[in-house]
Amino acid sequence: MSAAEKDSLTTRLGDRVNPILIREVHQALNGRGFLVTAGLALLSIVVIALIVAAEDDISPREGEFFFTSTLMALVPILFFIVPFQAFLSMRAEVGGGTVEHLLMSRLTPGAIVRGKLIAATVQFVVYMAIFSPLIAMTFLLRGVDVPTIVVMLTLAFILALGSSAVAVACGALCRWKSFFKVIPFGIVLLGLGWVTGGSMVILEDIVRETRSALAEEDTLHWMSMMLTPVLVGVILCALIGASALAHPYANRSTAFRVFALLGLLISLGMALYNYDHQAARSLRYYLDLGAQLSTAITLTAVCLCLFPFFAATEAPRLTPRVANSVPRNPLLAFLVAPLLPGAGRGMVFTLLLTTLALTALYVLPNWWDGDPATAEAWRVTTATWLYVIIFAGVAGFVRNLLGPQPNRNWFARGVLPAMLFLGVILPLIFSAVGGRGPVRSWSVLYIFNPFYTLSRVVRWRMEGEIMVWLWGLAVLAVLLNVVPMVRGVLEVLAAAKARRGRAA
Amino acid sequence: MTSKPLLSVRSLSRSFGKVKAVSDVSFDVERGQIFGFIGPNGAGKTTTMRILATLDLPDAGDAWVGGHSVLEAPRLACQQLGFMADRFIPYANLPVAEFLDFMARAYGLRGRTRTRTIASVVDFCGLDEFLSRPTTGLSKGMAQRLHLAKTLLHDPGLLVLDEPAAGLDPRARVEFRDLLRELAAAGKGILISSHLLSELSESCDGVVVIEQGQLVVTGSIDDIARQVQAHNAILVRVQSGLEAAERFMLTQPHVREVLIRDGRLGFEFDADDDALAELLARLIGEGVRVSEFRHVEASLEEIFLRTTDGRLQ
Ligand SMILES: Nc1ncnc2c1ncn2[C@@H]1O[C@H](COP(=O)(O)OP(=O)(O)OP(=O)(O)O)[C@@H](O)[C@H]1O
Ligand SMILES: [Mg+2]
Repeated sequence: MSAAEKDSLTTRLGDRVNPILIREVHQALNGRGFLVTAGLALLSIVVIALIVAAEDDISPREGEFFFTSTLMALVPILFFIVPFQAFLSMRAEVGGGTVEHLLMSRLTPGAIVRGKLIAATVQFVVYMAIFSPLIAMTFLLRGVDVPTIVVMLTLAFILALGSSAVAVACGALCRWKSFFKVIPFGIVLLGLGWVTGGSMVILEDIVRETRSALAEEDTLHWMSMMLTPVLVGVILCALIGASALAHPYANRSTAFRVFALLGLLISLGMALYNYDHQAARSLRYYLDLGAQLSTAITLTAVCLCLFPFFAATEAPRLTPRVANSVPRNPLLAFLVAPLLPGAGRGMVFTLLLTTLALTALYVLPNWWDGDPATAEAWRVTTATWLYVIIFAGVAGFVRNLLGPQPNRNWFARGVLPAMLFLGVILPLIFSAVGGRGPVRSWSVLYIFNPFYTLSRVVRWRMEGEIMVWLWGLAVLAVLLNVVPMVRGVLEVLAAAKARRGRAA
Repeated sequence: MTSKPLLSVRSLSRSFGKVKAVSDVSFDVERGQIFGFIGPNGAGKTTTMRILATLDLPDAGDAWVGGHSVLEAPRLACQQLGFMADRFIPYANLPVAEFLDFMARAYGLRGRTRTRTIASVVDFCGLDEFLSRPTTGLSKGMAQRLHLAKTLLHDPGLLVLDEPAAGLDPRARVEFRDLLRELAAAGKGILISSHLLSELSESCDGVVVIEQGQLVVTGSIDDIARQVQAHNAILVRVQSGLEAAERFMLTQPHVREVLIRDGRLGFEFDADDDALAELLARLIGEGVRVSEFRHVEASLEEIFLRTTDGRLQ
């Protein structure tokens, strides 16, 4: 191509933009929905301005009222209208079948979901720009200071992004059986309604709290502790949405497994950061890093418990598509095997994740502070992770009994609710029938009731005996899966060998 | 690599519950060929085509588009294939020009290449006057043209068209047939399903006939016509003495299924051409004034009617 033929910079930049975003902008400008909403927003601005102008003397009190009113008008748009539109647009795409145009193109499922999210983000920016004169006014009225404005708008923005991510993921999930179409619709409608209504009710308190918190605390620390989980949630929703759109033979596991690993690392990072922050405020001698890390790692196990569980109940065999993308190098193939789809490899992944979590609890407090974690902290954390292994192991065992067909995954996943139900209900029936009266002490019957059992461990009741049982069951769960685990890794190595053979 | 066919389908099977929509279907399509894909309603044509377009998964078997397996490398296979589904689903609030621009971007076309490609497919499909119309407000024929334009954007080697001519008026059909011929002449392979057999027979090089998910026959139309007609079908036109000619024929060896249709005499002859020449000489010797005496090729319709028995599933 000659220099004269070269595309202009704007064209080349335009080519980098997600096509979905461009299309959504075109559609918004051609359609009525956006114009109506923007018109209503402008109208509400005029109304608020008139109310404030009607006051005789304008004081900081009015300034604050002005600010909350502006946010009140923004909240339904940011938390409800835009996310709900994103949901409807995604649902129309998968329900109407236009998504098939897209899946045959070069757009990846991830790019489709990202496009929808970016389109929502652009709308947030547009609406915030529409409201910006009002927000500037609130500052001029001296009701609110700049940090509060910035923090509140950032919060609103991130929360709106979170709502949109949930909405887009639910829209993509509508691709599944017709029965599921009602459920995402209900979740989105109720969820967004709840977030919007709730935010509007507590808005004034939030503004006040934010102002006082800003006066006392380090804004960055406070914001990062609040926003990191939301952003992690946005990523998770995007992964769920993309995996709902993906080709059935595509690798839908690796992203989730990497996400779980990163989730653990982020939670460790946040715990350390938080501890350091407190230490910098010379609270160090009252704090115990071991205890904080133990809490963080235990909570991570609770938050992430579904990841190992899903991993261990996937269809055991590699699909042709995934087998064709295994690294050719045998060492590399061996290393990535736990991240590849399949029940046996999922169990290996579960063991690795647990090992990583417990190693972190062993290494980090020593290394950071010189103080190891206490026995109590150890026990609670270990018990929680052992439960992850036990439940994943049993479900994985059931999954492997069911044969290779992919449609059996959800039968195996039914094991979790079934085990929990039996674990909670059966002991109660036993003790009622046995006439032993109300539950006082732990017995092995309660071993499949993690809630009760863990509460005993936390309170130092029979914790020694409980730990023996948990370790025993976890080892058993692993033993039940040894064959699928070995087979899973060997299958990856065989696929790598086959690819080497074809390349040669 | 060049020796491989553009599309090869091997032992493809797909069931929906108890319905075997496709079972053990295999066929090939080469570059520059137009292949008709015919079969009664519910035969499994759409199902097969959706599997080729990687929108559905087979229970068994595989298919290769340009050498890429639709199971192992669906994205590569997709880049070589343009699938035109049996219905076009438009986007709300999106005019034709913006729709094509969007799809071209989705196919990764950039800058001038995109503008040029869109202009050429718009020209090829005759969409010039409709660029500012909303995609939701197109007539059936226009929507089909837009659909074809979208299918051609990424210049696929293989076109898989599911009933593209349905709903087109006669002129549009002729134009569409010409478009297909041009595409085939440009070296593209085309697999086209249709119930308009006379339409297909004029443009197709070969056919794949399936029924109840099973392959009935595949190959070039001439070959199949020969297979289907085990005997020579002969048509005779006479100036006068049609009845006499019929009576004469009924007495002749190797002659079967004699009948008079539309003022002509048809029969089947199961011996070689020498015997046929003698038969003609004898017929003339009988004093019958013969003005036409010829073989009848089996039409696509005949192939279809003879090979399928019209069971629906
Ligand atoms: N998603 C589906 N769920 C259940 N059954 C299906 C599905 N898709 C197709 N079938 C069944 O598979 C069989 C083949 O359908 P297909 O649409 O492939 O036929 P076709 O050859 O395209 O027919 P037509 O000429 O009517 O378009 C039919 O019996 C149909 O009922
Ligand atoms: Mg069909």
